[in-house]
Amino acid sequence: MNMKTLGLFCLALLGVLCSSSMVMAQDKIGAGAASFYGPHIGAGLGAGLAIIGAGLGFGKIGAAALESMARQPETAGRVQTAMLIIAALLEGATFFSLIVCIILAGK
Amino acid sequence: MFAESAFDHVLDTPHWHIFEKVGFHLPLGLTKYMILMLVAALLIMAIYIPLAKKVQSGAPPRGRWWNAFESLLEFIRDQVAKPYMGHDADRYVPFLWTLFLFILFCNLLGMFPFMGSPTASFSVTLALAIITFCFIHGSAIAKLGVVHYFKSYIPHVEVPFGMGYVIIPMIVAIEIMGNFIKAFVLAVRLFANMFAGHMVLAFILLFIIMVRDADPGLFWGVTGASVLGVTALSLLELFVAFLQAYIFTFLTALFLGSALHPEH
Repeated sequence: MNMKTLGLFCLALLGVLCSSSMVMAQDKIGAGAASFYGPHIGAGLGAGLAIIGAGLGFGKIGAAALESMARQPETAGRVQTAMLIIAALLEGATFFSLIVCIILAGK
Repeated sequence: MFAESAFDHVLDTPHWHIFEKVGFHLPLGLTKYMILMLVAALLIMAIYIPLAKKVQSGAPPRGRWWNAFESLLEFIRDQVAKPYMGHDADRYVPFLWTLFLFILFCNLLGMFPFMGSPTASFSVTLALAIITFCFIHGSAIAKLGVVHYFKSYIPHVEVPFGMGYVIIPMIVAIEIMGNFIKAFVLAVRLFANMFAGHMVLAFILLFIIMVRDADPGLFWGVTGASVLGVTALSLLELFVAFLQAYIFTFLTALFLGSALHPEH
C-alpha cells in the first residue's frame, strides 16, 4: 500500500469519524406514565421463560457431550469443541429474547 | 436513577466517566467507543506488524510473548479456516485474522477498568456483520461470476407433477432471506453477549451504592459479596470474550465456505 492510498484512507477515516456526530444528536425519549405496568410484567415473564429454555437446552447439550465423551474418550477434544460452539449458538438465541425483554422494560 | 447509571456504563457516550463525578467530554462528536476501537486497532498493529516482520525474515518467533500471539493466528488458520473452507482457504485467511483479532481486542478492552468494549454497541457489531456479509458475497461473486453465483441458489429437486415450479422459487427466496438473517444474527449474538455481560457487572457493583444510600448497616457484607461476585463474573466475561470472537470468525468461515463451494 503506497503513501497515496494510505493518505486517502486516513482522510476517509477522519471524514467518517467527524460525520457521525450528526447521528449522536438524538434526544433520549423520556419514560411515559408509570401506572401501566404491562410492559414490565411482560419483560420479567419473558426473561424467566427464556432462561427456562436456555437451561433445558444447555442441559441437553452437556448431557449428550458428557455421554459421548464417556463412550469414546479419544474424541473428547472434538466433542468439547462442538459442545462449546453449540452452547454459544444457543446462548445467542437466548439473547434475542433478552433484547426484546430489555426493550420492553425500557418502555 | 440506578438503572440508568448501569445502562450508561455500557452505552456509547461522548462523556467518558472515570469516577462517580469525574469524567471528561470528548470533542467533535467523538464517542468513547470510537476512541476505543482506534485503540484496539493500534494495539493490533503494534503487536502484529513487528511479529510479521520477524516471521518474514524466515526465523521462527522465539519467546512466550511472540509465540502466544502467533498461536492465535495459527489456530484460526488451521482449526477454523482450513477445515471449513477447503483448498483455497489461504486467500481468505487474512480477513478472518483481521475479524478475529479486532473482535477479540475490542472485547478484551472491556476487561480493563475505565475502558469499555466497543462491541457492546449494536452499531459496531452491525457494521462488522455488514462488512462480513459484503465480503462473503463479494468473494463468491468474484470467484464464481455473477450468473453462476445466482444460479447456485437454485436447488435440484426431484419432485413430480411440476411441483418443482412452486417449490424452487420458495427455496430460493428462503435461501436469500437466510443469508441476510444469518449476517444479522451474527451481529446480535456478539452485541448481546458483550452488552449483557457488562451490564450485569455494572448492576452488581451498583448494589454497593444502593446499599450505601438505603441501609448502611449491610454495607460491608454487600460490598464483599458484590466484589467477589464481580470477580467471578469477570472471569466468565474473559472466557466469553474469547468464545464470541471465535464463534463470529468460525461462522464467517462456515458461510464463506458454503458460499464459495456451492456444490457441497
